[in-house]
Amino acid sequence: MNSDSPTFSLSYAAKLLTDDLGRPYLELAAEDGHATDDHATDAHASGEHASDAHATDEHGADAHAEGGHGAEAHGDGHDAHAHEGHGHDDHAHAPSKDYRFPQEFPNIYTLLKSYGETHHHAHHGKLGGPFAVHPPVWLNGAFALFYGLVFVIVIRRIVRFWSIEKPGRAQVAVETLFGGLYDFFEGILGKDYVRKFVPFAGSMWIFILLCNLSGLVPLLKSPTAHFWTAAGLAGFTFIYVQIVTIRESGPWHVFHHLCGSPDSAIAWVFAPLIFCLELLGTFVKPLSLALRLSGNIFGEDKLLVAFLTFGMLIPSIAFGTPTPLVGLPLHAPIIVLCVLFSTIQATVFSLLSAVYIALLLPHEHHHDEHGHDDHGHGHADGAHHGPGGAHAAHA
Amino acid sequence: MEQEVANPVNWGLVAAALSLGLAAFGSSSGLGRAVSSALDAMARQPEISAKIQTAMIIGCALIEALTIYALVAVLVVAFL
Repeated sequence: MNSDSPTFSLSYAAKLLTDDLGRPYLELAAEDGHATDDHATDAHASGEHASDAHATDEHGADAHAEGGHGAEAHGDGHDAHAHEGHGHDDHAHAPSKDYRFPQEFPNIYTLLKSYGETHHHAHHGKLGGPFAVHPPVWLNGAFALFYGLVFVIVIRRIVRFWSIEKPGRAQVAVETLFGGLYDFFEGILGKDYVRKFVPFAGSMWIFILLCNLSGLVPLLKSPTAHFWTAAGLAGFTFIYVQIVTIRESGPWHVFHHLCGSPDSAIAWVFAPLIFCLELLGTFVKPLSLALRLSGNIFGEDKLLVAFLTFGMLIPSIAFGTPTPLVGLPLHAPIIVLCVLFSTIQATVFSLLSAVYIALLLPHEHHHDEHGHDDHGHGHADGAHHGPGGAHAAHA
Repeated sequence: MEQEVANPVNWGLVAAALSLGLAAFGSSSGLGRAVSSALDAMARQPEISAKIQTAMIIGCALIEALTIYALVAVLVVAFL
């Protein structure tokens, strides 16, 4: 590597790992200013540092050779990794905070867009090629729709060949999964209502799981990492829960429950206060669902990106070469962690949706109205089997 | 010779990072208690280990969510 292009040379790569957070951006930008002399070399070098870190052989070389020139401000204001709060908000020439690390590895859209347009290049040491394409927000919705459609179409085509008498292995596996979901939600909703609401909760589980896991697949993107996708799911849950509970239990029962289920005159005195708190809680709970899901999946995405980048940087630091197309597989344990947590988040989202429905359903056997801050109710006897799981899980 | 302006410490960022550490501390102590009581329950009644494990995982996800809220707040403060 000649000393004129510091991008991914040994000293520059060492700087990548030991970033000085205390220094203002303009100072860092001034240092990197000489990197703008060779846009071609550093764009090309970083263009080879491509989307195909997962060792899929794409048309990576030609795509990134063409993504070589032009100016593209990758760090927009609404990026999660925009400027630090120094007040130097010069989008024109100060690089964004995270210009050295990729934000997200390329997906099909960014890859195709960087192939088609030739003005995405590395600016001030930023990564070029598909990394410079900022994925638009609607891409999350498009991917979510895509996963839903693919799943429905594939399953419909496959189920036609399944038989009741002689099930094959795949059929048994899917039926085991479905039976497990059914039993899981039966513990929450109770035997009487599980048939009505397991389509909602189970579909939510499958859809969220598909969306979460797709972030681990090389050219796909997980839409649930974006807050508004998760907020859409949570908003739908909110509306569905209100409609369903008012339809099943009647408005009076729901209102009575929201007032804290008062059974005496003294309890009615506190009812307005409790009603206000519960009303606030009704709106906060879907928000918490959305934040929990999107925060977790966003964190997983960033973790995966960080480890993939380390895997690519470590050979380049060790040997002083440009970052290779395929790096060390340091992200292998992270993949396992991401699969586990994606499943857990899908489970928690669908479980809490079922719990919010179950709490407001009419329970004929359940005569002792429990207060909302009373977690100690043991529903050990069989008559209270249905909603017992709901109250136990609603921490 | 130019007069150099001292680089002031950005206390907002320091506060954000410290708060995230505090949130992590709180959630880890809560998770430790939850998992510990789940293990005690499993030891007392091994036959319902599956139910206890499910409840533990769900409880852990709910506790962890608070740390995620703190992370989201820090991201908003630090990067928006």
